[in-house]
Formats: sequence, structure tokens, C-alpha cells
Amino acid sequence: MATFTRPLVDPQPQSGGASATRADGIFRGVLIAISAFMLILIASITIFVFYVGWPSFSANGLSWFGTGDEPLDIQLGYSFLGDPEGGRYTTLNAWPAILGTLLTTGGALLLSFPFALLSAIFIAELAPKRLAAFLDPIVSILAATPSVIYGLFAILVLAPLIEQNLIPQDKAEEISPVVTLTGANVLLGILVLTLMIAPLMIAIFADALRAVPVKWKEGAIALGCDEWRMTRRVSIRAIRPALVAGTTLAMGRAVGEAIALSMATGSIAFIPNPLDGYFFFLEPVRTLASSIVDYSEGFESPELKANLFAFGVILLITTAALTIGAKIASRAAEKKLGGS
Amino acid sequence: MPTRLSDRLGIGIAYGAGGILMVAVAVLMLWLIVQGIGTISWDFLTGEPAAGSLEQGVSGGILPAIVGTLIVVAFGMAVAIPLGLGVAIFLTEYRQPAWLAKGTDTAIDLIFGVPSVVFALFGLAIFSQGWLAWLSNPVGGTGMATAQSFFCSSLMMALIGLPPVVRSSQAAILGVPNQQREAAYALGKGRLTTIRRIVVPGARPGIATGIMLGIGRIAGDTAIVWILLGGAVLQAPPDGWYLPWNLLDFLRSEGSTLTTYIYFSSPAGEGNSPGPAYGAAFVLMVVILIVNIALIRSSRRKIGKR
Repeated sequence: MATFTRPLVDPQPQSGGASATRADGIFRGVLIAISAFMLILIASITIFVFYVGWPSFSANGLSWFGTGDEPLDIQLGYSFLGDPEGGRYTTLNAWPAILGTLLTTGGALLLSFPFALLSAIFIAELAPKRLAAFLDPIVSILAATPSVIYGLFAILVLAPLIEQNLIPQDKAEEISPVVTLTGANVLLGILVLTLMIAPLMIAIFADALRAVPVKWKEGAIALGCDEWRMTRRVSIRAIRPALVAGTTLAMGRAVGEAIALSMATGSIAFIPNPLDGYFFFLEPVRTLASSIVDYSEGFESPELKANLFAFGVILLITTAALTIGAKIASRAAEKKLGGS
Repeated sequence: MPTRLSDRLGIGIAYGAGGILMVAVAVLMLWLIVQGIGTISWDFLTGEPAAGSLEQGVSGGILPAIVGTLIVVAFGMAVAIPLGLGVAIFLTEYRQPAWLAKGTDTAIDLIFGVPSVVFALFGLAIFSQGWLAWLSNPVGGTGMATAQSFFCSSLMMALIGLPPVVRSSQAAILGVPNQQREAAYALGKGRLTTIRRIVVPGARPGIATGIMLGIGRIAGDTAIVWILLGGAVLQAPPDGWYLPWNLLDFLRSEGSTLTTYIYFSSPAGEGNSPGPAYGAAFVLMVVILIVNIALIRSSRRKIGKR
């Protein structure tokens, strides 16, 4: 990450003259207003989302984060329609959605980090120049590909593959009273997130690898390191700030991804059972972000609206923490390495 | 050549990762092209959704979706570019008062990181206020607004397009040599003139890069459109929507873009008809490709200029 701190000339027009006009003052005022507006904006986003979501937290207390007697989807359904007795329904235990977010994001990070790092090493250090010049724009196009296209790929191509090859009929029937197993599940969610965030990480890592001073690499070679050792001992250490920044950026993307996961995870707020062995990964989930999209037609119900905004609050806090954490971490790493 | 086995293994794995990447890219692109080309036809691109398409799945053309994407991108960027450029100039050329510069810098980072679905929620909370009903349509009898219109979604889209504009412009403005500024000041030019005539033109390639990045982000976003443009039912726009005197009403109405069209017609949505989804995905990918090619060219120009 570039730090934008370079001394700039400040003319400070002393005499009024023709130059220090009123237009200059107005322009400066407009810029200050725009910048202040950004602060107001981020503050009002926080306040509004909190304000609308608050009833959901206050009605449930800490059990908001726990599991409840009713499945999450039934709770959300009741909060839209009212409970069976016709009253308002405010209970919400969001653990299934939190778990779904953790599982898909965690799995995708575990899968994509090593892959992205190795691919970045391939592009930046190993690949012939021509191939690297070809792969570079491809990676950035992949990073810019809309998530809905990845979701479409997942549900139309990967889901049938998973359904036909990984889910045996007898096991599916055995589980069917509990939950229907289809190709859309945790595994597919992890795969589609990996497809989405790996290019992002590759692009950031490869850029950083290219920025490692050639002198350092030459020094390592002169000391008798081969290519791989040089990469491992010098380059990867040097790009640690970028590794942190890229990974947190990707994590933020993964946590907040609504559409692709709504398509790929089966969108049932089920709690995968670790006792099911590898079927754990073939059971559906629903993440916080995709719940918001899945239930977006029910905003006219105040209870459901509060619940969905409460999901938004969690997403907002998580991504803000990731953003600020990444900033602090990469700054600390830069300081330690004496800047790059 | 590496000597140790572990080192050779490491290099081998890195080559393997690169290979997997290339195969994945090839599969993805081939899939999109093979599936997409079959659906694309002149009628598909320029037609409107067939009547009664709710029952029969999605049929007919995707013109409204294409127009919707163009509108959202144009309006979103029309708000994002001046704001983003203003913030970038403030953060590089002025930086005073310091607390505001620091705060704004963090705010831009935060806006970059916030998921678009949260912006959609924020937009819903704001635009459903009755006094903002002129941006969408009032909900009868409740004093609230639908919060679903091209205006509402475009305004939130501006927040998605803003951060890349700020960051790219910022980097580009810093790249303008100080001598050029000093020369302008020496000629008696004021700050505004210097910025307008020297700094912004010098930073133009970087600003273009930021704009392209912003366009790509807006064109590819689904969540904001789904919630703030109303994706639940794919609607054909009213007849003659493009006529100037109908345009305002049209922009206050619900609609769809390519992304929500894909989502709606995928097996995950209600439309469930993969054919048109492939076609729309193909068109969207072409849009993204064009944007990225422009992006690569603008960043090449930047390097060439140095």
C-alpha cells in the first residue's frame, strides 16, 4: 500500500494579487465540505443501520448470538408473518448464519491463501516474461468479474458435479428427514468464494513481489541461495505487509458477499453437524449477508427489518474492524521492515 | 537449478498453482463463451421481456437490463467522479485541517471495505423516509417511500464507485512533479488555476484508471440493485420510457440490471431459466472486459508518460 505522504509545495500566496482570488477560497471551502461529507456519510451509515437493527439486539440480548429452539429460517419467517398465535415475533438466534459466514469465509481463506501465494510467486518470479505479461491482465479481469457470474458458474456447473459425484444416494436419503442434500452446500460456498477472492490476493501479492528490491534478491543469490530459497527467505518476508493487507481485504470481500453465496450455499440456515464426517461440508448453510438478500422482500415487516439490519450491523462492524486492523498491521510491518 | 529436493518440490508446486490458475481461467471463459453465444441474438439483445414471463420462466430480450446497467453506471459515476476527485485533491494538495484529512482518509478506507449489501440497507433506511419519496414512489397511506428506483440505487452505487476514483486519482496527483506546480505559481497563477490547468491534466491517466475501476465495480454489483431497484419481479419498462417527458417517471420506477437479471433467471432465483442467464452473463462479461481493456490501456499510458 502506498502511503500518501510527500511534502507538497504550499505557495501560501502572500500578497493578494491576481492569484489569491475569491475563487481559490471557494474552491478550498468546497473541497473541505466534500471531505467532511465523507465523514458524515460513514457516521450516518453506522448510526442508521444500528438504529434500525437495534430492536433485534435489545429483544434478544446476548442470546442473539446463540442457538435457539426454533431454526433460524423459521424465526425469520415468523418475524415476517407474526408467530402462529398471531402476535409479534421478535426472537432471533443468529448463530446458524454466523456459523455459515465463518465456515465459508474461513474455508475460502484456507484454500485461497496458499494457492494465491504460490500463483503470485509463479507469475512474479518463475513464469517466462511473456506468460506473466499475459496472466497479469487475466488476473485483474478475474478479480473484476462480478460475483453473480461466479455464482452462476457455481450453481450451474459445479453444483451438479458435486451432487452427482460426492453425494451417494443412500446417505442422502438417510439424512433427508433432517436436511435435503443438494449440490449447493458449504463446499460449493467455499469454492465460489475461493474463485472470487483468489484473483484479488494474487494481484496484490504479485504486485508486492515485483516491488521487492532487486538488490535484496541479488544479495540472496550471491550468498548461494537458489531461486526458491531466495523467494522463501527474502521475497516472502519482504512482502509480509502486502500478505496481511491482501488477506484482510479478501476476507472483507468474503464476509460481505451476499449474491454468490445466496446462490451457492443452498440458502438453508442449517447447522452442519461435525459428526457427519465429510458430509459436514455437503450440508447447506446461509450466511449473514445472503440472508439479507434472501429475505429482502420482507422489509415491510418491522421485526424482520430489524433482524436483517442487525445482520448488517454485524457485517459493518466486522468489515470496519478488518479495514482498520489491516491498516494497523501493515503499518506495523512496514515499520519493522524499515519501509519498502 | 535448485539442488535440494524440497526446493525443487516448492518450485514444482508453484508451477502447479500457476497451471491450475490457467486451467481455471480457460474453463471459466470457455464455459461462458460456449453457453453464452448460443443465446445471443439480435432479438435477445434488443428485445423486451415477453409478457407473462413470470409463468413461463424468463423469455424475450434483455434490453431493459442492459439499459438499466448503463443508467446505474452513468448516474453512479456522475456522482462519484466529482466527489472522488474533490476528496483526492483535498487529500493531496491541501491536507489542511490535518484532522479532517486523516478522518477522510480513514472514511474512504472504510467505505472501500463496507459490503455493498450494507450500503443497500442504508439506502433503504434513508430513501424509505417519506420526505424522500420524490426519489422513488410513495407507498400509499403509510407516509413512506418504496426506496426502489434508479435514483436510489444509483446514489448508493456512487459510494461503490467512489473509493477507487479517490485512490487512483490520489496516486496520480502525487505523481505530478512539483516543479510543474512551482512553475505555475511562479507565473502568478493561483491554487485553483494550478490544480485545474496543471495538476488534474497531469493526473488524467490515473483518474481514468480510477473511473474504469469504479465503473467495473458498479456494473458488477448485484445486492444494491436487488434491494434498491427491486429485482423480485423482472419488469418490462413502460412504453415510451425513453421519451424525455416520461424519463423522470421512469427513473423513479423499479427496474433491473444485467446482474439482477442473471440472479433472477438463475436456478437460485424465481425465473430459473439458465439460457437467458447465460446470455446476460455473457453480455455482462463483455462489458467488464471492455472496461478492463480500457483500464489496461489507461495504465499503460501512465507508464509510458514517465
